[in-house]
Amino acid sequence: MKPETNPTDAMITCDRLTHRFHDGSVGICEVDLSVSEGELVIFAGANGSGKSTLLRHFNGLLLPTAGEVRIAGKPVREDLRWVRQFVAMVFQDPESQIVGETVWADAAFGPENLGFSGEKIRQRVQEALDAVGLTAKADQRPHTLSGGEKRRLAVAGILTTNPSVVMFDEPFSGLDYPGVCQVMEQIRRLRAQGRTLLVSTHELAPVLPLADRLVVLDAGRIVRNAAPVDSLQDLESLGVRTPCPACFGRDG
Amino acid sequence: MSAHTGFSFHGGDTLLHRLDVRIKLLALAAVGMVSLHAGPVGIALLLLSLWALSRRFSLSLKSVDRELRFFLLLLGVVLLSRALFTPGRILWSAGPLAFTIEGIRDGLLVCSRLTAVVWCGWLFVASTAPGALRTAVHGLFRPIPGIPHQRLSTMIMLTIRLLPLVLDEARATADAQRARGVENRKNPLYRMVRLAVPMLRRSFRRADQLAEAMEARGYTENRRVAIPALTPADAAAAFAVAVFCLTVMLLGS
Ligand SMILES: Nc1ncnc2c1ncn2[C@@H]1O[C@H](COP(=O)(O)OP(=O)(O)O)[C@@H](O)[C@H]1O
Ligand SMILES: [Mg+2]
Repeated sequence: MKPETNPTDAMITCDRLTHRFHDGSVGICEVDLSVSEGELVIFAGANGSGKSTLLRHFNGLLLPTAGEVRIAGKPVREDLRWVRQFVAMVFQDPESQIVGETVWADAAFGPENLGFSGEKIRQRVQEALDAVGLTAKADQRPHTLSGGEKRRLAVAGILTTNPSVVMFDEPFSGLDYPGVCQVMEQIRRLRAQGRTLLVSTHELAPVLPLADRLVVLDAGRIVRNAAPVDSLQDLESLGVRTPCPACFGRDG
Repeated sequence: MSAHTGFSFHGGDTLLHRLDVRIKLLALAAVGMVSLHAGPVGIALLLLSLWALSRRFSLSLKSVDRELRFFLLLLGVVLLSRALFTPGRILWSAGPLAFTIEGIRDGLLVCSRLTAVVWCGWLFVASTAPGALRTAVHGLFRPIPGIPHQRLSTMIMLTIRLLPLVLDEARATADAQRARGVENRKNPLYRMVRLAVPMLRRSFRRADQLAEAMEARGYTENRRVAIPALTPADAAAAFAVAVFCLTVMLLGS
């Protein structure tokens, strides 16, 4: 596990971050948080506890109504283009994330936006599809992929722009067991590459053994923020299923 | 789903697959126009060439079966009406019906032209990946000022991407409503509204999500779409098509 670093060189810092939606409802409230480089942090909590709202602040899809978010020391709102290259996101519904008409075209979307040369795009896409094992399906339409394959394609799309932080919003929702295994394989690989990973989920079991930290949200506030061992008590009352002890602590 | 019908992209590595899509698109337009005015010799030449190009497709006629049946029916109707209603020397008559030699000749010519045009279209669709089509449109319109080629190619991309989703959702919504007995309602307008409202709601939601995902993935209008350079083979093909079109036109109409 990584030691707690000084907040000034943290990868992500939230300072009394609050988001109020247009309709007046509060998404997240006074969140203080610091994530250091290479950490894997799980964000748990019941539906509507504010997990997605919080993650959307880290790549500037939402901007704070109060407080501040800094990525690698820079306030998010100062350079949205840079932030979106630096912090990538795999959405809850991978179907909605895929924009390309073929697997290849989708993986190429990111580098095309960055204005890379044709040769560089081709090379990046090839590497990314190889990494997630979708090379054989490069010409297929994304629509015909399985749930696990769609999330792998989303990961490939992210790899092409080489982000330092990768966020997964509910990566296991709607997946069967092989699908969950496929996603976990990608998470393990990204972690081995030293990227900072943020995973929002109410399904702790698969990813908990890898986690450095477990943050629990309830009604938009952080109610737990510690190493997984210390965060696990009484989770059920916060709407998160406590994983069986056997699942926990194998290779964490 | 369109992915399973004959009139769609078939992967492969034939001459046509390798040709630049811009050349193919222009050739399709040129050959299509020429074939509509071609005479009997020209059209025979064209059909022969199309046949030669198609031989490399390892595609059985079975997979084009349904569309083909419809098309053959259309050809039959055209041939019959031409044969019956063109004045000329009578070949065979039964009561008020008379087939003329000129009519049959004319009908065959029109049918061959239609066949040639449809065949060209099929070859184009079968040998062109949807993504390549987007790139080609981008490449063709980029030099023309006033046309937002970036937006155009993104729109084509999203349309190709979203069409199957929308069709699937329509089917799912219709199934769910059938399961709940919507067919007991006789009023078709009621049923249409009942289908359209949830469909629209879902489409707007999906559009929202898609826009968000595109933003998260750094979408800009100034995206670099890799437009492949034309190869000497492409230039040769363009030349060949031009010569071919001229020949067919000179062979008379
Ligand atoms: N666009 C929005 N407008 C208004 N309220 C929203 C919006 N998005 C989310 N919320 C509200 O914010 C809260 C947190 O939502 P969310 O972050 O999606 O939760 P989670 O991802 O943990 O399920 C919920 O109460 C939700 O209703
Ligand atoms: Mg959520």
